[in-house]
Amino acid sequence: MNTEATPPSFTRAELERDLLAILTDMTADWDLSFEGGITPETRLMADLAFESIDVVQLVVAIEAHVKRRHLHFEHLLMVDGRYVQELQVREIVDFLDKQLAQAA
Amino acid sequence: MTPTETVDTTYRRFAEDPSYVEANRAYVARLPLADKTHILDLCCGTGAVGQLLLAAAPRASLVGIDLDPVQIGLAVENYTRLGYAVSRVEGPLQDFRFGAPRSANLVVGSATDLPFAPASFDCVNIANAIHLIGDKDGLLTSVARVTRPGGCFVFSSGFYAGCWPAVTQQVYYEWLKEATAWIARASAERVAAGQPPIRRVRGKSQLAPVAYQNRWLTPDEWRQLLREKGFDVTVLAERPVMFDRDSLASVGAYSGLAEAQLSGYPVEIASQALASTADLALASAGVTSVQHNWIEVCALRRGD
Repeated sequence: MNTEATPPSFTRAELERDLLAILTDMTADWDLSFEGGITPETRLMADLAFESIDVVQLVVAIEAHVKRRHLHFEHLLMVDGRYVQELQVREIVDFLDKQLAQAA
Repeated sequence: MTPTETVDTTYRRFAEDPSYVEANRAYVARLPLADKTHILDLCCGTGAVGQLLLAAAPRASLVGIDLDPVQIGLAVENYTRLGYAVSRVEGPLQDFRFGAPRSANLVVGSATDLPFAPASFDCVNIANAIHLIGDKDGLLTSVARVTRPGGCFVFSSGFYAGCWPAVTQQVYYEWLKEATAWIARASAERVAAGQPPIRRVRGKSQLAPVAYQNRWLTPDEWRQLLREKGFDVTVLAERPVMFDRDSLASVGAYSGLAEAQLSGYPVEIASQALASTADLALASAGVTSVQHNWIEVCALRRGD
């Protein structure tokens, strides 16, 4: 008998809501000049001053939240064989939505 | 490895890694060095590649430059052990003159600040570091100035567009996640023992931005940029290098990589975390080694 719990499922709207909450919590004590709150248009590097390890920690937080590992975020973070220079919140939601649908 | 053990955070351990050593040997073997007499080795580190350059250029002396005084100290030891006449250059570089034949002259300084006299060198090398330099246009302008017409600018790099196959991308990303988890566990153990947690200070690293915010060029972009700067490319090749657990643990322990990858954590702890989790990263993809491609370039300086 398979005793592993089935990972929860999420709608795209739920993923967006939860990602915004994760980002808000993660950056709460950062010294940022960014104003207006985090939205789907927010850019991780330009607006939130993300460093590469911040992206890793965001991925860890996301994978813990959706209770799945190895979601292959490297496919989002590397395009044409090199690191992307910027990432919008909306792009992460789109990627996550797609990866979770494939993993379901 | 436990958080209480120490790790060699210099580049020495990786410089002696068999895969890396063989990659460097193969790189140098394809370079036209036999008739070279004045070599400039940028970002020279411990001299691992510079020694190979001198061995392939029997009439040459070398100037090695590196920002890190620790690496320069190790280079002094290494070149001395090999029997070269070694000097540490302290004065203004514009006044530098090669002294004894077969000498290694070592400088703590920047690869992007080259106030040597024009056309001072017939070979300029930068091994596995050009990706760290943001202003590549400025670098190549400076290199072109100090390279004699007909001399060569040569470099290798494991960081360019296309350097990592898909599995390697996966392993390297999982490695960072595992290292982060390792630090979290180590921090929790400290707290349980009544010690302060391991804290991360954002914005502290000087290396993280240059390592990951510099755009990696494609081989064709390198060829184009070199042509614009007065060089004709004679060699532009990609070499697959296989890194196993020991190779990854060695490079992970290097403070420069640890600072860039896990920026803001104490470097010693970041080095331990990466060295300790290389096997977990490989296991996450079900592999025992990863292919990491290296670009190798030789370009000849055109006459003015």
